[in-house]
Amino acid sequence: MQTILVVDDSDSIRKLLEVTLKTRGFMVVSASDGQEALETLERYTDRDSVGFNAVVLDINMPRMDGLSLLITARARPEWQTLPILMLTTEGRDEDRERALALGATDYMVKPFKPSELVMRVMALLAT
Amino acid sequence: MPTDLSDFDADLLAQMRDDFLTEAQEILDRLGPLLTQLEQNPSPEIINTIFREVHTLKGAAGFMSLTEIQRLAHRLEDTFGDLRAGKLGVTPALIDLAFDGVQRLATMRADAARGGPGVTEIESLLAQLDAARRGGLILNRAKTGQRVSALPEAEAPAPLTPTTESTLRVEVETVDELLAMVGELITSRNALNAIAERMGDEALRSNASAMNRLTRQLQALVMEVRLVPVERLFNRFVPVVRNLARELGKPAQLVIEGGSTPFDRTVSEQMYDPLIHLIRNALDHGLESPAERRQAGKPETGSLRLAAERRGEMVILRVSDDGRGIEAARLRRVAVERALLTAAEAEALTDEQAIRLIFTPGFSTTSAITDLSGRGVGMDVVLQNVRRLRGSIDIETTPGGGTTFVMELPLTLAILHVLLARVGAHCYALPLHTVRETLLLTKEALQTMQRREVLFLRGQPLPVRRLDEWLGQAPTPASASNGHTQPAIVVSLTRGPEVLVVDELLGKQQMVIKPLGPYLGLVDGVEGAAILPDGTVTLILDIEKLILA
Repeated sequence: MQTILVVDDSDSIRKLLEVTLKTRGFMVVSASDGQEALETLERYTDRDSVGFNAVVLDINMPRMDGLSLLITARARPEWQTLPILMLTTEGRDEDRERALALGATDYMVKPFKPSELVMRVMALLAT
Repeated sequence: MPTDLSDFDADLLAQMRDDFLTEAQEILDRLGPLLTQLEQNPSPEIINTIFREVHTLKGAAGFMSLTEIQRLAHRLEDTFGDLRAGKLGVTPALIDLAFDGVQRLATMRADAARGGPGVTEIESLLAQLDAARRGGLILNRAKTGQRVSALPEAEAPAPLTPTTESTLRVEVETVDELLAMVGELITSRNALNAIAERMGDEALRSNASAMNRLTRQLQALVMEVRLVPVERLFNRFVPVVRNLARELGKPAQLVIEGGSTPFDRTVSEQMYDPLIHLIRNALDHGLESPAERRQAGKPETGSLRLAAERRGEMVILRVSDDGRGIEAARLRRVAVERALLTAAEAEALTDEQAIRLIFTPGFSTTSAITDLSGRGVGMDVVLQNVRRLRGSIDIETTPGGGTTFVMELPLTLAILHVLLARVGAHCYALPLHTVRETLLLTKEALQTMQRREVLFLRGQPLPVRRLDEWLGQAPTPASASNGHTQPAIVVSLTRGPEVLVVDELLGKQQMVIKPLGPYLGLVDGVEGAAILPDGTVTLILDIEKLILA
């Protein structure tokens, strides 16, 4: 089973993402900020594999935001090719551009249809 | 752009909505104190925190298709984005707009919680926010004519950034189930106690005693889970006081004390409406205009105080103002004017009773008081709400000095403390919170006043009722008229204390209240039923309804 790490500081959005992905057969682990996400990634990464098949990552979060996590993640060899789907908000083009520049694999603009999230995640995993 | 959640079934959708509503409430509860802090001590950290909170709210609202909430949150986000980027400066006017925004968001959230579309009038506020951003206000703290401020509570402020605590999120339903089970355990424990007493077996007694201790501890622990610090409730009034004071042109300061006092979660939520009404009342009617206050030698800024303290198994809430106070004479006059009482009846009232006239339906001295969510609320509804929560409300006031409403509320709703009394062959339970004291009556103690039996207690004549008559039972042989002493219970009713004569007092008991269900639940005067230690069922009497029915 494929495992996705979902990172968002909003409880209700996190739950929404979890339920959406779980009902489509994914295993989901969540974190509520960048720091927690980093610790979770480290906990499940070892020499041979990364514990997650993809990460769905929000940008605005306390402690460590999405872009900072992105930078940290891409700086580590084991996470350089980890598919990361960035969640941005409408009207913040600069966030989108920076996310892609910093190495996000793809992005989605909030709010979005849950079914579209699934399609995007599956597209990420196909490559 | 509205999102399509039709992928989810109805149950899941409802749950998603509940999650959003809870999260939105928590965000709004944090924003009040945050804005207050911003006003007193602006810093990039606070601006950033506020930015993130409204940003989160905007995002979550978007998923729920609550577009109006999303719009306002978005505009606030843009405003705080500008503050963050240094394009805009923190000014009192801007803070006022932000507080207004928080209150409107709260109104919309409440509307959505009731199943509505989650809308309210926001166009003018949006326009003002746009204007503020365009104007690019300069970074200074210009003093305006009438400053309105809200002080945080006297104790240390809660930390802003979430620390890594080892906490757990539990569904309220699960906690309620736990509490219900503890309740059943207590019922069993009571029965076990009775058996242990009857059998006189030492080993059984000591084990029953151990079980007492354990269930008591368990009960206390589970109840703790349902407790939240009362400041969660109090903080919601920070924007309210601020906006209302500004609207009325009466500068007012809100002081919060005892915010860390624990309070049952449900009671806390149910107290929102009564408290908002009392606060509105205090600001509207209690506090005088700045000119009047100056004349009276009072500080121009009115003082409003919300205080909470725990007293054993009860929580005492106080809403105070240092305004004009309530005059018994004026209330007597109004009662006569509105034909609620005759002049003679009004005269016969004590000052304490006259002041409590405020709680009579239809008494409100201004027309159509609507609370902030648009519903009509009167002082009588406040009393009803408090009583429904098994609480009581008292008024302390001095003409010219101010008024304090003192509410006593139980720490938990699931377990009821009752006084058991025998009337004839039946045992009844009276909620302890309505009982003032118990007495033993002699024949001489009872007197007649205008053909009704009364008891003079500390100089006051209290009406006397014989419960056996009231409950439709034959009067028992050994009653006071035969020269025996008879036990009586003094209860607090809305209109004042009264004396209930019973046949025997059986002591206090802690019971799990069980609702009566559809067939019997509509009987006026009966609040519910509970199981006695000997296994029989006793009815819990609602004396107020019983007597007025």
